Amino acid sequence: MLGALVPGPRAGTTGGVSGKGAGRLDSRAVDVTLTVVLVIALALFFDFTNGFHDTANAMATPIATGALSPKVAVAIAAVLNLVGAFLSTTVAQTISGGLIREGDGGVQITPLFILAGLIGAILWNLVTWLLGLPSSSSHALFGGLIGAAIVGAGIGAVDGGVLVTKVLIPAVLAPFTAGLVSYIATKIAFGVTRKRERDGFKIGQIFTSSLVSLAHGTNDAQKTMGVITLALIAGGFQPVGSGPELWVIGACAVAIAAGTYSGGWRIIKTLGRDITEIEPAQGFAAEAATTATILASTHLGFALSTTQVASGSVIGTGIGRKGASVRWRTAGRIALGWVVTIPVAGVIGALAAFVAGFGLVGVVIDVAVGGAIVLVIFLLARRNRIHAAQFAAPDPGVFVKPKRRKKKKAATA
Amino acid sequence: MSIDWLAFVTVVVAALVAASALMALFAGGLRLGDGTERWRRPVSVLMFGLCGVLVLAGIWLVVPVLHPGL
Repeated sequence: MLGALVPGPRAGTTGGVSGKGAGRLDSRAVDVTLTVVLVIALALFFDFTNGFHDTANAMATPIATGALSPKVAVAIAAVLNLVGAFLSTTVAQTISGGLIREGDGGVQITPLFILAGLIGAILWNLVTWLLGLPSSSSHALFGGLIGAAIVGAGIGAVDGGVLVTKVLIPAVLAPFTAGLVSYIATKIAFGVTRKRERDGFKIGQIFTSSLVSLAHGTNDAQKTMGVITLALIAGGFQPVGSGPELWVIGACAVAIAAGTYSGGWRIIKTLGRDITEIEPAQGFAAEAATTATILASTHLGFALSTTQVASGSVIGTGIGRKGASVRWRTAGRIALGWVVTIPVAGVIGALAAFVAGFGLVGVVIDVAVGGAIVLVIFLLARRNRIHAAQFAAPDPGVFVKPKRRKKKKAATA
Repeated sequence: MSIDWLAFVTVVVAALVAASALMALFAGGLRLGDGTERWRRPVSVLMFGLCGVLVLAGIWLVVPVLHPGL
């Protein structure tokens, strides 16, 4: 699969021969090596942001209902992502999924091009994290690569039809599908069980959320492996058409697990608390819906984004429970984030590609400016930190007492 | 530029059936586990067991090594 999107022998000769064959380190070889090293570093950082961005997909609801303590939840998710990254053998397929016309008559994917796309994806992932928005990391990566491709080869490089049918329409359908499934599951849960039995759903939640995590690990780490392998092939360090090296698989697995363990508490708060209050039965319903929808979509040939499915499930369960309210303002903010993900990541990717066009100086400027923005985002995030301790489940006794007092007052008044 | 609507409908139906089945079994297990009649408990355990089977089926689908032909 990978060979199909590698720009063929031509890219191999542009970077490869000068990198390896000459036998002496001319400046061009240094350029290529440096770019490939930067791509690997950025790809692993993207993998890390992917991890903490998507912890919420699996773990927001069990944390919200108290089925798992926050620390335990992220630890389980991290381990399952690590395991999942090694489990999948359909490694690193097309990273651009045919969005960009590659090969003859299209774009040559070079390490520089990937570098620019990654910068766009990373920066947008961090901005959405700062805002607490669950947004698709794949869309950010697509956006960044599209932007870079347009600068490199013009608007014709992007296959608009594929963009609409494989990315945009599924993005609209995903939350509705998951929402419907989650709504019906919630109705069943509240129809069948009585109130005092519903705490039992917490145990079920552990299994369903773990399954979402494992599925995530088998999918998302593969993207980064694909990016790194592509850069290695394009730079001439690996034969065309070969799969990822073991160290690439290991590094990607560790990066996504570390990112997952670091939590992404802002997005967990949005998904678990801000959209709607979630009871254990709803958490189980939402996770069952997320799991079922993702597994069905990956195996029946209609790919849907995990993030959008998970968000749709939470909204669906909010509609499904009587007396629960969905905060549509929050849901709207998330939807807006989805709409602008590809364009904004694209613009950043395009700018990065434009600057990188000036050669080594441009690449250095790209990375320096990107690094500075990352630093600023982390500093901004420190102003209102959200951390694990804020999700500690309240002691049941503490929760019940004030409620009773209120009732008594109302009765006497 | 065509959308595979059949695939989409299949996904929706499959997801609906799977999630509903899992939920019905688990909720049924909880409901039947809560009662005094003697027949309730084994049925409840059976339902949880079937839930476990569904989760195992999920793992089977997630891990590609387990289903090379799919």
